[in-house]
Amino acid sequence: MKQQLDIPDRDWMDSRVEAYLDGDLPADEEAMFKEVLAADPYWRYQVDLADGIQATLRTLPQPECPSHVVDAIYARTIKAERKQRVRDYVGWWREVWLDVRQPALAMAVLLTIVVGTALFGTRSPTQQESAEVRQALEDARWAMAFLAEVGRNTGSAIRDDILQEHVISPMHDAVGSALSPHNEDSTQD
Amino acid sequence: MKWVHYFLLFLLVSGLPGVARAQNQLRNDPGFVDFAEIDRWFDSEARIEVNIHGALLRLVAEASRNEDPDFANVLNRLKGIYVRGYTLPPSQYGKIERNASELGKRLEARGWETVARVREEGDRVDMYINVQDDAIAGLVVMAIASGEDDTIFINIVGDIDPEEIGRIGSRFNIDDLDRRTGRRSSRY
Repeated sequence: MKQQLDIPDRDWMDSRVEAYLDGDLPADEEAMFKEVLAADPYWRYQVDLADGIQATLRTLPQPECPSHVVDAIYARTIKAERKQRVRDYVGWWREVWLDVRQPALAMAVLLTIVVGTALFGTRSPTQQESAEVRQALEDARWAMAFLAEVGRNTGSAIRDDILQEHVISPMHDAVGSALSPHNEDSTQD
Repeated sequence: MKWVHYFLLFLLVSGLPGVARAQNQLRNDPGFVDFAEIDRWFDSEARIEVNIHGALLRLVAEASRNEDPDFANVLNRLKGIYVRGYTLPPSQYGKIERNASELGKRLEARGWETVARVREEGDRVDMYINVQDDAIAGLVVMAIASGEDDTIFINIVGDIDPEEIGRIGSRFNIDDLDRRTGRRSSRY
């Protein structure tokens, strides 16, 4: 009969019983399956049996998962998710770091110098006097000494107009009063 | 990651203007005189070049505070100290003297006052001040000497008290400082 209906073999039918009951068969296969059912009581019995088993299974009470198991599963899942995120983050940073490590190190050194200078360079210059500051200090002293020298030696040659009393005379007098004995001879020139 | 390179470049470039900022700010100060012009008068580079302003001036003031608080106070009121020193061959004395006279006239035209003018054989000293609101805001000394002595140009910018400068400056031994700084100041 199977041969007359040109239907597939037993395995073909057997593998499609569940799908037929669930309505998941393609239209052509479903049509062929129904054709066999109509002609073969064996397969009707098999379908009824499977339908009964499904109905019985649906009526069985569904056991609930104990709450501590649910909690444990949630906790494990969250932990695993976090670990994965950390791994992803570390992996991303590792890739980034390989690209930027040299510029980043240079930037860190530069910032250290800038911040260090800002924090310590101006707070205690006497302790961290650089050669530049020492040279500048010497230059400033020299400039003051030179001006005092010019003021002293030009005191008698300056103009007698408005600014004499404000500039040269004070400078001249101050220098004169502060002169050490070894300079006194030169002031009388 | 080119942004990192750009950021580093930005840091470097943004830091550079800070170095020149102090002098740029002084350019508009009535007591400031740009010595760049003087450099062009001479065939050779300046033997002495001093530019103390901004943060360096404050550092110098602080560095001297313990040892000499009066000097530190003077420096703290200043905005800049600029010095140029040149070796002047006798053959160029006339040219430099003329240039200095022209510069002096321009300073006077800008409101500077000539307070000292000394002419001796082979030496010439001119001192100018700029007065703003009854206070001295700038001082320029042009001391031209031919031969072995240095020709010196000094510009002091800031709140200048001549009496204080005279008193404090006289404490420093110019001969000793000349030796230490390798200078040859003329005795005018």
